Amino acid sequence: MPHAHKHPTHHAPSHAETPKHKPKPDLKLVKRPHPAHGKEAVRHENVLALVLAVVTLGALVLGTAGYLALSRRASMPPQFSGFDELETTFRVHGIERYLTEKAKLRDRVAESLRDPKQSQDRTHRRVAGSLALYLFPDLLDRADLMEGVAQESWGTLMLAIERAPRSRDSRLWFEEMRAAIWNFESPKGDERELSPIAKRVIRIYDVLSAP
Amino acid sequence: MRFPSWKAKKRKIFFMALAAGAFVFLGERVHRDPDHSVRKLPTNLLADIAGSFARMYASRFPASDKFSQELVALRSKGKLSSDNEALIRSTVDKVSFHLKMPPAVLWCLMFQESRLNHLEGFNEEKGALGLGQFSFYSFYEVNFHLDRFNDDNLVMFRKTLGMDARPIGAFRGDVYHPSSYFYIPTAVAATGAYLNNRYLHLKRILERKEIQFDPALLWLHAAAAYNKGTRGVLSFWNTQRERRGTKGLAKLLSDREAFFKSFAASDTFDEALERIWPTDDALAYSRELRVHLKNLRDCAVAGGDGNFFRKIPEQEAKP
Repeated sequence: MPHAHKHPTHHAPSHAETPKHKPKPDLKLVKRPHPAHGKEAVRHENVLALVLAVVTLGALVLGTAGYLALSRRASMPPQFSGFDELETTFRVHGIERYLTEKAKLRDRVAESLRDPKQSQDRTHRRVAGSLALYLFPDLLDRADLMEGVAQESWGTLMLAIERAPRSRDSRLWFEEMRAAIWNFESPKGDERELSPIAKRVIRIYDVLSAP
Repeated sequence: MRFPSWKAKKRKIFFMALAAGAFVFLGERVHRDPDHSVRKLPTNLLADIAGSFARMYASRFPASDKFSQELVALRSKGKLSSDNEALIRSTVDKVSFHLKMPPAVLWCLMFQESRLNHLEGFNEEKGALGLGQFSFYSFYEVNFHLDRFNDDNLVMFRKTLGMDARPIGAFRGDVYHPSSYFYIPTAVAATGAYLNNRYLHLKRILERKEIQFDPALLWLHAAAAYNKGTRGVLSFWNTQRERRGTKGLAKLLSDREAFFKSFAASDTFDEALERIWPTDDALAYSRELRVHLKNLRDCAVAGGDGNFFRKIPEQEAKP
């Protein structure tokens, strides 16, 4: 220990030596040399503080992003949760299972569109209407002005992709479909203006058509 | 060799003089009012355009004082050169003639989108570009679906640019190349084609559903679709139909006063866009769209922000 000999000796005052006035505490007694007093140690401390700050900031950012993602997911009514899983279903189980799950979702959307109580809720109506528009155009009301548009602009392209997923042609159909949806919703190409359902549908068919 | 008789010479001179007279007369008519593009059109197409358009849209635009002053400011600050402005005007006349489109709507749409800066976004990596604020997907449509509804866009391209300039893109190397969207005639032609496709799409939907509409007024709906997408416009129509029935929707599409009232109030637009986006976004887009439509109306519609429109109280429009 290079600095061990520098330690001051601790003298506890005895009662016999007690003066009339209470002596001032010898601050030198508690003052000990510390490794942090070295220049290198100070540098280490700074680095440590910086790392801690970065980690804390990262945790904050991740936490906020996670919270936002969860709250977004929460805005999807529970009966449509299968929509969020479609992409994974295709990745993990393939097209047959994807089509089965999609058919189940179709039933739930149809039921929701028929139910006047559910249609009163704005989020519900938005999600069910958007799912019908992009995935099940045949469910749209005959009086709905978007009915024919959906079928001819992307409905047939989606069916073609589902029949030949991951083929070269499917990639071309996907490009067509994606451009049709963007031009239908956000002609300026601003991603913020593309609705959440449209974004997710594009993502799903991007995966289905990826070679 | 036989020389023509004096009688034949007289006939020839008479016809030549007649042709010269007609030429001078027509030239004078065209020269008298160069901004009034409708008068330059042949009479058979004049019926299509001048009929309903002339009753609704301004022949001199921008129609409102506010935008006229803004245009003067752009000129005086050197943000819009007289050459570029003249080129935009003359191309707007040509494009709108070939597409049977009100020139005021096309010009005002570009004025709203870019303040007529054909190099808007030139130095940006991302974002909308040029006179009509084109995106990757707008280019995609013009390049691959120019003739999606009919051949008018293709014919217009050939007649306005002298060629089919596709593929059109944000080519920065030579801004005078006919395929570059930064070249003014190309930008105006592509913007016109994209607007025309929005119009033809909406028109086809209404015709299929047998809903009455005013073709002149439908151009403003098409301009709304250009800005916020056809889905937004169709959602607005659906909402109107659910609230007021098909007759109510037909009124919105054929009675301009009813249409102008509709975007003076926010509730129908708010509800329509809430069917597309989460509430916060929907309300912000609803406001943007209504401001866009109001500006277009003030810029393109005869009377602009004059007395006719001042008669419409903002609050009264709420149902």
